[in-house]
Amino acid sequence: MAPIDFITALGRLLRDGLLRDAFHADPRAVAAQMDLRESDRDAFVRLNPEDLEFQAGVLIRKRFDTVQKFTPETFRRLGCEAWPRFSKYARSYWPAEKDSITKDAYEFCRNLLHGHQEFLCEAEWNRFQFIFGRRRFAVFCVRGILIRHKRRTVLQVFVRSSARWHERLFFMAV
Amino acid sequence: MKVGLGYRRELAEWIATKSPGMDCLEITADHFFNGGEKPLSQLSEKFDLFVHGLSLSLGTPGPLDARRLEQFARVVRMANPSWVSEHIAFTRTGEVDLGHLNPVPLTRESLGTIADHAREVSDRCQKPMLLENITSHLQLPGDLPEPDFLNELCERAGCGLLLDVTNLFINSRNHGFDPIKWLHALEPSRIKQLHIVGYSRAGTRYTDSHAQPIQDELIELAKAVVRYAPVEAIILERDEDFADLIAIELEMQKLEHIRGPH
Repeated sequence: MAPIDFITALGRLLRDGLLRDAFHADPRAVAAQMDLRESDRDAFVRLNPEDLEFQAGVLIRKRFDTVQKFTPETFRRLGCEAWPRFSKYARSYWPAEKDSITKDAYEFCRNLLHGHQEFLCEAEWNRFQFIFGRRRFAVFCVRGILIRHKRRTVLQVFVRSSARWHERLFFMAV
Repeated sequence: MKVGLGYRRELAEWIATKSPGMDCLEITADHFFNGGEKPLSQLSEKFDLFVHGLSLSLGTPGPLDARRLEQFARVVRMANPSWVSEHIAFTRTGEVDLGHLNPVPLTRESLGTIADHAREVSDRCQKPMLLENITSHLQLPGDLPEPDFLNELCERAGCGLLLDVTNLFINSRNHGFDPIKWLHALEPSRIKQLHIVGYSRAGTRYTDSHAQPIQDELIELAKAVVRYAPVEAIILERDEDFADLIAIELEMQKLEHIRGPH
């Protein structure tokens, strides 16, 4: 394998919090472990760990803002816990390019399942399970969904046809 | 100098009804990668458009992402803008999409990569290209001071400069340099367009959340740029807090103030 260039190495640092911790402790060891081009090593080891962490935080904040749009109810329940929990999760997980936004939201919800299930919105979790599953059809009964200013019990129905999927909510309006 | 706004879907209705006084709009190409023919053709009938990219990642070594370049070129065909623009940055590597702008080292190698990519985009779209300075919390070691890098880059790529006044201000505060000295080291004829929006603060750092009203220091810096260079357009680049439309109208009036009397 050819040695990697500076941009590739910087990208690795920005996406991986554990690698940044290792860099903070011993930048030369990280440069050697990455097999960074000799000509880029000096510049690489001179990167300021605090600035790196801040820049990585900017990237994580962008992910946070996007994922929040996909999981509004879960984030509402998390309240002021949302950012610390998301940034902790995002420090050690970076989604692959394909489906990155929905995958990121799914993985964050999955992360909440371990010990913080009370924050997870059931309807949003059902949606992700369907998107990343193989089923062509699924029905869930979900309580407490806010529709037209009232909490209601709904039937959440998913249908998949070729590459598309559809969601419908059915409820009794009295 | 034209005065305009970064087009966002949340502002579409307001733009359609309140547009008198607005000369131009900047379209974010990435927002139209999956469709948008009808709104773009309607907007192009009413406004001068500029197409701005977020994710071509000009600073990534190797070839441009062919799919994104095609999507970008498609938006350009639909919008028929006066020019196109992208950032002096990388958003992805061969291994990962980082989803946002990151600085490139100010080396001759980066300069060559970005210049070649900018020329490719301009040739593909058959439009003049502008390159934009970004906010960076990282100071990367390099071969050239930033203004020299930008001058040489524009020369080599045959591009103009989209000077983000807010980014210049933020970098000057975070990294401790004089923004006016920095500005005066640039070749003025390259500066064609400006971006401006209020900055934010996170502890001791200045950041660009694109959500704040324009502060007075930024107005003064923008005026200094307009006095120094033949700027053709200034765009308010607001990405959040669209609910208060009166506030956005006031922001547009500040831009008129920067423009001064016709």
